[in-house]
Amino acid sequence: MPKRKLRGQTQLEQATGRAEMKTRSRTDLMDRLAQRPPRSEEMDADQKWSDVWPAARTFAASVVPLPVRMGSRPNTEKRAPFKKEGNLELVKIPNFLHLTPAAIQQHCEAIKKFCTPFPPELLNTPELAKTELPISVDYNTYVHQGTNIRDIRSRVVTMKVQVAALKFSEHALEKFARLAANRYDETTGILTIITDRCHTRKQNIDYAYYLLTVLYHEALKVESWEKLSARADALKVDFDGSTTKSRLVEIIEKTHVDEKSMESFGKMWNEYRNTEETPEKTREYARRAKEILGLRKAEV
Amino acid sequence: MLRVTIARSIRAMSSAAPASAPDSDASVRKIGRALETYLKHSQQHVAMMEKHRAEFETGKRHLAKMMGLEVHELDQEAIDRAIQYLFPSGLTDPHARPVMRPPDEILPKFQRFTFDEEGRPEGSRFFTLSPKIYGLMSEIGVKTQSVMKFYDEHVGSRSVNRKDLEPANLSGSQWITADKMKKKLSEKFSPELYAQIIIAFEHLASLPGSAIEQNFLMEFREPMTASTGSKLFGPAIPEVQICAETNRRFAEVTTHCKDTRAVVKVTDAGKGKFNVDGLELHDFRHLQSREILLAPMIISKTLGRFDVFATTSSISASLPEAPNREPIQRSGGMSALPRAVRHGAALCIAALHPEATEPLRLAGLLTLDPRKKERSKVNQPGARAKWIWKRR
Amino acid sequence: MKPCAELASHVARRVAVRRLGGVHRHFCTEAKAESSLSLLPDAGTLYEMEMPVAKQLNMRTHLPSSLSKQMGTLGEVVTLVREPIVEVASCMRAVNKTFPTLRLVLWGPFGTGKTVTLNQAVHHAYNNNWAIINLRSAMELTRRVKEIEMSSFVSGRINDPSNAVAFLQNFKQQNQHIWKLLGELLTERDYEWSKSEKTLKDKPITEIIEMGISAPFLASDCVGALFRELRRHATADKLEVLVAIDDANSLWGKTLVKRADRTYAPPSDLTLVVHFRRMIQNDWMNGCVLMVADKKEVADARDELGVSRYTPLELFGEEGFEFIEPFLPIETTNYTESESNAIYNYYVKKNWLATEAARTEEGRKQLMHLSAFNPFYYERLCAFN
Repeated sequence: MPKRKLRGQTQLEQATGRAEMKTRSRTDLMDRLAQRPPRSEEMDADQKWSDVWPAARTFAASVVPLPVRMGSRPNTEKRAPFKKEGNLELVKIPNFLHLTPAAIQQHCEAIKKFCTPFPPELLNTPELAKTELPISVDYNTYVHQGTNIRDIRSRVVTMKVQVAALKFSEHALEKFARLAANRYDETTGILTIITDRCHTRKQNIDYAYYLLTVLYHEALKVESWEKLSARADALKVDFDGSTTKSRLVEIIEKTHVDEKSMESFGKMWNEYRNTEETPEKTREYARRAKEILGLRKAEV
Repeated sequence: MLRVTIARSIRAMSSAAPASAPDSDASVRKIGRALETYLKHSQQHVAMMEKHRAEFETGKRHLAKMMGLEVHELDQEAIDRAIQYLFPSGLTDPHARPVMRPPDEILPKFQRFTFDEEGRPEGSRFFTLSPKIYGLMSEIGVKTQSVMKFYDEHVGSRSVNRKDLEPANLSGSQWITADKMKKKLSEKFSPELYAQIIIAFEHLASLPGSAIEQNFLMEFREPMTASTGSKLFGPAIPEVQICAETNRRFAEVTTHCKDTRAVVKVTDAGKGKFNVDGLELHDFRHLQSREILLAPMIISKTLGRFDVFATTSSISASLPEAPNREPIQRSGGMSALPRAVRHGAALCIAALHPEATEPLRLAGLLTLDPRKKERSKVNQPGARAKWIWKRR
Repeated sequence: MKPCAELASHVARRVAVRRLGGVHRHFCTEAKAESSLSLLPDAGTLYEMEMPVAKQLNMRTHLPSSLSKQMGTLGEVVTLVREPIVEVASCMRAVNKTFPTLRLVLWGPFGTGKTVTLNQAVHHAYNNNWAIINLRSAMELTRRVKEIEMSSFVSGRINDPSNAVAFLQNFKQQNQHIWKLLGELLTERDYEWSKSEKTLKDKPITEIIEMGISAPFLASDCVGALFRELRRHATADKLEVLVAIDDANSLWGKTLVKRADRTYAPPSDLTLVVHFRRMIQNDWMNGCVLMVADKKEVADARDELGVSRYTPLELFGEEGFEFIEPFLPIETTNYTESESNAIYNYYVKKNWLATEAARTEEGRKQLMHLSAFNPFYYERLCAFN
């Protein structure tokens, strides 16, 4: 049973004079307006808008004191867009009336007491972040027009680690590079772990830290079979001890090219073999090879 | 509607007035009522506009306060920006988005008539129902007379320019349409009247010596290609910039073809080098690709003058589905990718070498190709293809 | 555009071939002077290979197909002397009996003239009376093997009689200019090919070749023996040898030869491949090994859009690269403007460019740019204009 009186009950009471007869004008809008004009008309221009519209809310024509119009109509010269009263189009679109610059500032002021100041050292020298804060975690939060606050992309977490901060030994770094594979960028020295396998962001962040921990400890381990590693197993090729060098030594004895060119050739060779091959690097190789084979004279 | 009623009552008045005006008050009252209606509407409109203006002014003050601005800082541009911020609408039609504009701009105009003190309309053509069009017609008549007179006086004499004695030069243009004429004169008229006007214009234009009225005639003519216009479909011709380091001119533009987006930068005073995603021209092994890439240079006859640097990407693959997976590089093949680059290069060449703009436009190289792959439909193997129907 | 007067200088001119001592040369023991090699024309000029010589050197099959077709149409073999062949010639001049074999690798993008340079070098070797070991494509040894035979000499090796015979025939044809000299070179030891066939010690090495051609099942082993003898005689300064191998990186590529257990045999199991690899090794003197690194070994022919790398390490692979080191990479490039003009003038003179539009200045420019200065595309473009 509803709390209010039933209509029959009220009618009975009114007929007997116990209840007051209340007449309301339903049909004439002007009459009703005469009773109470829209709130927006009574507003003072100096009022605090965030008090009127403190939180997100659907557009209400009687509250918003702006003469906005909306709607596409044919022959715009003769017909203006519809006014705000009773305009569903304005109700349908989202509004930021609660997020005016003044309101945002007010919010910021309010939550300031919970915040700590940004480290001034980092403001002065942003490079400090590399050494002092070696781990950075990135994620995105998504806002929708609709009521949905969830987005599947918001679970993805990207963790970046400055590997230099882990202070690996040479052996450990090599093992680390093998374990991390393409997640470790050697040129920048940054490890990038992207985790998206769990459902929530929190879980993914935890998982990323777990992976980092495992990588670190596995890299530090020295297994018994690692002693067996041969020259062919190395991540990089070295000029010293290569067949190329031994062959070149033989040739150099005959051509009497000085030792210095051997050194510079070795340096170039190491770079050529251990980085991505480009035509420009091959040209450099040709220049050095010509030098070391003593062919420069022959060209004349 | 209003105008028709007034006109009707006035017509009644114009026939009845001379006879009954001195002795009877009835016809005067009749006129008075028509005018009264008009005046009432006019006053109502003024009051309404006044109300809207006041509303707009207070709204403006409210808006300024909301956005934390001073009222005098809030010009129309600032209002538009504020409305766009407060009511972010994703509707593609700009007319459908929320607006806040001064009522004088946005509300329909109220057509006013001019009357003298006694309530009579100014200008005797008021009673023809179409005063403007008849005015234009009589103007044409007067001009025709003066042209004929001018020709008769000056034919054979050397005091005037020979060119003035020729018919007006109307090549490459046409008479404006009835709709445009109506808009121009802001008056409605029948098709017959329009035909009469055109006949009168044609007669005037055919007269020897009508060259002196060239400007008057051109007011009512439009260029033949006015409908297409000189505006390009797709991205506009970019601005020429100057590289600070090399001091060479360059232009940059972003365009697309099918699913391939291309950012093209063309540098002047180059060697005719191409760099499309790190590929040179000889890496495009199909002649078709090379032909497409070089088409703007061949048409503008600037082979070997411009260096082209372009990077391409796939539009649909720009949002990776899975973050751990490398996004698939699917920018176009041997035709679409060069075509995207070609459009960008043609636009840049048009900017750097403006003489080539017209040939490039005529060759269709400055126009964007908007065609895209049609989406495949649910329950169908493709966009149009259907599964093979089989009787069970 | 060059003025007409200069056009004459671009007309193909015959190279005066200075035939040296010929047969008697191997008797002179002192170190060969550098100037003893016949000179190439200057870079940027066209030169013509005489038709009988081209026939002897089997240019019709060794040149790229489009060029050999053009050779048939125009009735002459005219090529442009470009930077790489000049460099190859200068390296060949440096070859001597004290210096280990010089290894050169021609590398460059598609269609820039790697094969043409190789054939020019073969012609240059012919002009200087070198012995020529020329393989049309190493890919034929690994991918186009029609019949196979298990080797009786080394177990597990796979012989390829048809390719071996074809090679020996080609060797015989290409070395007719020094056939007499080869006849005077003697074998080091007895070769027992089978129970019945033998080549005794101190017999001319041409006998080995004849033996291989007549008995296909011995041809693969004959190739090995021939190479061995040639290396020995070259080291003893009896003659100079040019080893020219096209698509040499296929010697370390993949094969289409199946073993008995239906797995693909690695290239090191193929007898001919092993012999050619042995020839590439630089443990002998007085020779020059010219190799071409070609992307056709690694590229997918059906991938129309992919651009694969054409650099030596990429194509030879780690193993092959370490095998051929130390070597000298020689790059072939696209035409420069003057080079393409030389070719254009030649085509105009030959009426190969017949249409009016192609003969205008604008046409010349368009041909140049539409071909992207690439020699292969340039030839193709001119062929249908």
